This record gives sequence, C-alpha cells and structure tokens, in this order.
Amino acid sequence: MLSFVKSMCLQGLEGIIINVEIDISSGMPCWEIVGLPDTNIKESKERVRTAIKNCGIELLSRRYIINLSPANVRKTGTILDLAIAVGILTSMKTIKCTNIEETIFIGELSLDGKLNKVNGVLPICIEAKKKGIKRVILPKENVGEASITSGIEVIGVNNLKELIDFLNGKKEILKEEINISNIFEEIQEDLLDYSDVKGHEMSKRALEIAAAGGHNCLMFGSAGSGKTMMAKRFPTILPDLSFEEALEITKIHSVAGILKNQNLISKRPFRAPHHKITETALIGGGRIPKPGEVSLAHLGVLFLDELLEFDKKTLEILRIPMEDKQINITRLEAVVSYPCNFTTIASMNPCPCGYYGSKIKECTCTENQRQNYRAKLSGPLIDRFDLQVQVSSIDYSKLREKNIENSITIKKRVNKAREIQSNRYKNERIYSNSELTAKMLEKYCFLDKQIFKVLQEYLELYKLSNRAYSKILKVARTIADLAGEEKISLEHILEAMQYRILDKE
Amino acid sequence: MRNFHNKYTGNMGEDEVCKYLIKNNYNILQRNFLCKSGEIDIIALDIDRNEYVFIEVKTRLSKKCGRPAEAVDINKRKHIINATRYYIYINKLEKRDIRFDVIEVYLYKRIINHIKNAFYTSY
Repeated sequence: MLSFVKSMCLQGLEGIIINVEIDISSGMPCWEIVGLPDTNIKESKERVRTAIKNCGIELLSRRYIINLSPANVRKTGTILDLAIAVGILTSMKTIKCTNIEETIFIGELSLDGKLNKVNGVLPICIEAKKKGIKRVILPKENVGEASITSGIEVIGVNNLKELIDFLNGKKEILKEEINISNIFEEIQEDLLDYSDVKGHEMSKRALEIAAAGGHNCLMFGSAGSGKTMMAKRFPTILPDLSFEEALEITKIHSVAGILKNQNLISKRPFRAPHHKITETALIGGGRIPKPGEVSLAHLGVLFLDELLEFDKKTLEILRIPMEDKQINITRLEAVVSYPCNFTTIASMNPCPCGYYGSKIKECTCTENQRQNYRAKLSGPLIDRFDLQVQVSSIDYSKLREKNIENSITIKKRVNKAREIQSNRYKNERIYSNSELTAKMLEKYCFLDKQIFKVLQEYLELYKLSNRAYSKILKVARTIADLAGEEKISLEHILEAMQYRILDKE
Repeated sequence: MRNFHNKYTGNMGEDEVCKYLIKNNYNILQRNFLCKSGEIDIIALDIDRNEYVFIEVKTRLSKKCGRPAEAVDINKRKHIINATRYYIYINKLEKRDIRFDVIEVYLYKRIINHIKNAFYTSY
C-alpha cells in the first residue's frame, strides 16, 4: 500500500519540504531508499527497521520502496528517520490516522524506538510555518527550541510507541508552550566588568561606540597594555537582544548544532577563534556547507586576538563578509547563504617584539621587521575597521585608581543609543548604524555645509578612501546617538575622525 | 570420508526441519532445489500467511564451528537469492509474497531455531 508523509530538510537556513513516499508490495523482499539520499539517510533503514521491530510490531517480508521527493535535492542528516517510520507504519495500517497532510515529522530513531535530538529544529519550524504546515511532531528534547515559533502546533514525543498511540487517538499528548519573556529575564552575572580596567578612557570610549553602533574596532598597542583585557569585557556592554535578533542567532546556532540546553539564545554571541583557525572554519564550508565562525558571531562579536598572527589568507577572506553582512558558500552540491552581521573586535601588536611605541620598554625590532610584520594587514582590511585605537600602557600611578565606571552604566548608555537606532531604522530592516547603505547615509547622516567642509579637508589631507568617509559618518552618527542628539554636529565628526589613526600612516 | 559425514549431517538436519515445518502448518513444496545459480534447501508455503518461504538449513553437531546462522554470509545469500529468482520465474510467482528464512539446527542439543525474515534482497 502507498502512503505519503511530510518532513523537512534544510539547505543553509532555507527549508525544503520532503515528501516521503512509501510503497509496500509483494514480490522479492527488499528495502530501497531512492531520491538522492546521503549515506546517513541510507543507513536509516536499519534504524527504522530495528526500531519498529523493537516496538513489538512485526515487519513482514515485503518490498519496501521509499522515495524522497523532490528527488533532485540531496538529502542529508538523520532527520528523516521518523517520517520514514511513520510512513511505513501508515502503509502497514498500524497507524490509521489520515490527517497528516499538514504535519511534518522530524527526528532520529534509536534502535529501541526512542527519539533522539536533532539539529536545526528552530529554522525548520519557522520555514514550516511559512510553507503552511500546521503541526510539527518532533523529539521531546527539541520541544523547547521549537515552541519559540508561534502559530504552529508543536508536539514532542519520547518514542515511536507513544507516537503510534497518539496518532491512533489512544493517547493524548499536550501541546507544549513556552514563556518567552522568562528567557530574557534570566540575569546572567558576569565575572568580568569594565571597572577592572584602570585608565584607558579613550579605548573604552571607542569600545562603547563600537557596541552602540555595531562598528568594527581595531586596537593596537604594546604587549601587556590591556587590549585583550578590554576586549574580553566587551560582551558585558553589548546591547540587549530583541526577540527577532535572538531568533536569527538561534537559527544559525541550531543549524550548527551548538545549541546546548538553551531554547533561545538570549545573549549576543562572542566568538573568539584562535589565530590558527582555517579559512573554512572561519567563513563556513564543508561538502554540505555549515556555518563558520563569522556566521556564528551573527549579531554578536567576532574577537580576533593577535590579528597579525592569523594567516594572511585567512584575514583577507574576511573582507567580503565584513562588508556584505552575508556569506555565500558555494560547493559542488549546494549553494548556501548564511547571514554574518558581526562586529569585529581585533587586537594586535605594533611589531614582532611587541614594544614599539611603548613608554616602558624599548623596541628591539629592526625597521624592516616592523614593516614586514605590518604588511600582513592589508590596506583594504584596515579600511574596514571603523574605529582604530592605540592602546598604550598606563602610568603606574593610575593602577590604584578607584571609582571607575562599571559595565552596567556603560551598557545603559549603549542600550539607549541602540533604541534610538532601532526606532529610526524601523522601516529599513537594519538594526544599527554600521549597516547603513549609501542611500541611507544621505538620509540619516546629513551634514551641515560647514561641517562637511571640515571633513572634506581632512579627507583631502590624508587621502582617505570613500569607504573611510562613510565609516566616519557612521561613527559620527553613533556618537550623536550616544549623546542623544538628533543632528550630527562638528564635535561628533571630529571625534569620529580621531579614531582613524592607521589611515594616516 | 569427511565430505560424506557433512552431507549426512546436513540431510539429518533437513529431515528434522521438515518435520518441524509440517507441524507448524507449512507445506513443503520442494527440497534441495538445484539450479545453475545456486541451491535452496527447502521451499515451503506458509499456509497461515500465504507466503512462499525459501529456507536455508544449517546444522551443527558441536559448538566448534560457531553459530549455524553465521555461516549464511553474503555469498551464500546471493546464491539463495539468485536461485529464488529462477524458481519464481519458472513457477510464475512474481506477485506472491516471498520470504527468506534461516533455520538453525543444533543436533547436539536437539534444538531448532527458526529465524523468520532473515534477510532481504538488498544485501
């Protein structure tokens, strides 16, 4: 007998409804899965067969033909196990339920019939809702993540037996609902705080601007001056997430399978890859492309400590994602696009020995060494950092300084500035100043004639690029937002200009 | 001498299985069906389920050689399947339900172990 069951596969963050068609007929007994399945789906027949057997249901010796349509899309993952099992049981008439056209089944089966957790449940549910699916049946462990999507019925089951009883109407499974506001209310206390950082007012101010507007920030300075210390505390001043943003982040983390026991990510991600990271790990890839660090840092921070220790090739690969806020990964079998709207925070030393320009210790490098070292960082890449700050060692007398502003106070200002931005860009589908396009710049960063003249002179003096010009405007916009002012004034532009130190060299 | 011994053991096992099958409501259709592509020990009809069953009997006299069913490896299965295909062709059973069984006979313990639905054609 023939039966049809729906499931869903992900290609990047895009969901494709898979029709699992099952035919059981007489003749030479066999199990065949057709429709471009990957090895792990081919293996699923053993899992399904054993799981059904261990639920106490006898599988007859028949021809089992399983077709996964559309047959031209390569399917991967263990997510289709449940749909195949349900299809077979429907064909065998063990499941007599008829209203499963608007239901998708996802989940991996254990040999004993238990349903195992799968990756990518949140994007699947969101896509399913878009495609008019009314109900999702999935493993109990995934329920929390799935119930974040409203408007779709989520049913979590523990094992195959329970599901059979449920579909036959012998057992009730309650719909799961979750209180989203609770997730955001959880207060996470950080051990790190900006009050630990003595001095460095200018760098801290730059980081505050970076957090408020989502700007990229490059800190350079001698060894031990506190670059890493400040960067590590950066997450404590990042603005709160909105629900839409949290959803976007969770989707990517769900696909990558690194969503631990959280249902929804309520904090901005802070990714700090080691400088030995490969290109693929950074931007994503693989035969079926998985998101890389840049995508995992989406709407959060990508912290590149010791920027010049990274492979030059790896660094240059960042050029496009830093500007486009989206990365297209093209492989033979799939073309996938992941969002990667991240803030880059990078730190580096001015020379190999690390003391060039330091007041404390003398640099032992030759001019040639220094040049070679700096040559690793290309002009276009420097250009992409909106804020470039020099971090120099502070005076010893400042080490006993007290009453330093803590992270909460800074965060309040940042949140306020973000609020202004999100209100302003309500209709533009962007979140922060750093995402402004050329057209929006004209609209939102209007400069008076006088102020523009100052900026023009500055650009001419140092021969800055057009990108530098727009970066200065964006930073000035953020500074004005932090001050709570509607219009960009000369003061804001001047401050923004001083953050482009490396351009002048 | 040894060959004769093994054949004798096998026949003894198969005789036992036939008795067992008849007791369990099977019709024995053919024993030792032999063709170019392989051999099938017993072909029977499961009357309860209306299934044609192709049975491989494996007999053991002692524990020395391991479990009988272990000996039905992929090559043996291929032979059985090919022989079955031929049998189906000559008897026009294409639309009937087919089943492959393995029956283990432990002569030293006098136990018969019937593994129903032992394998499928996709090896």
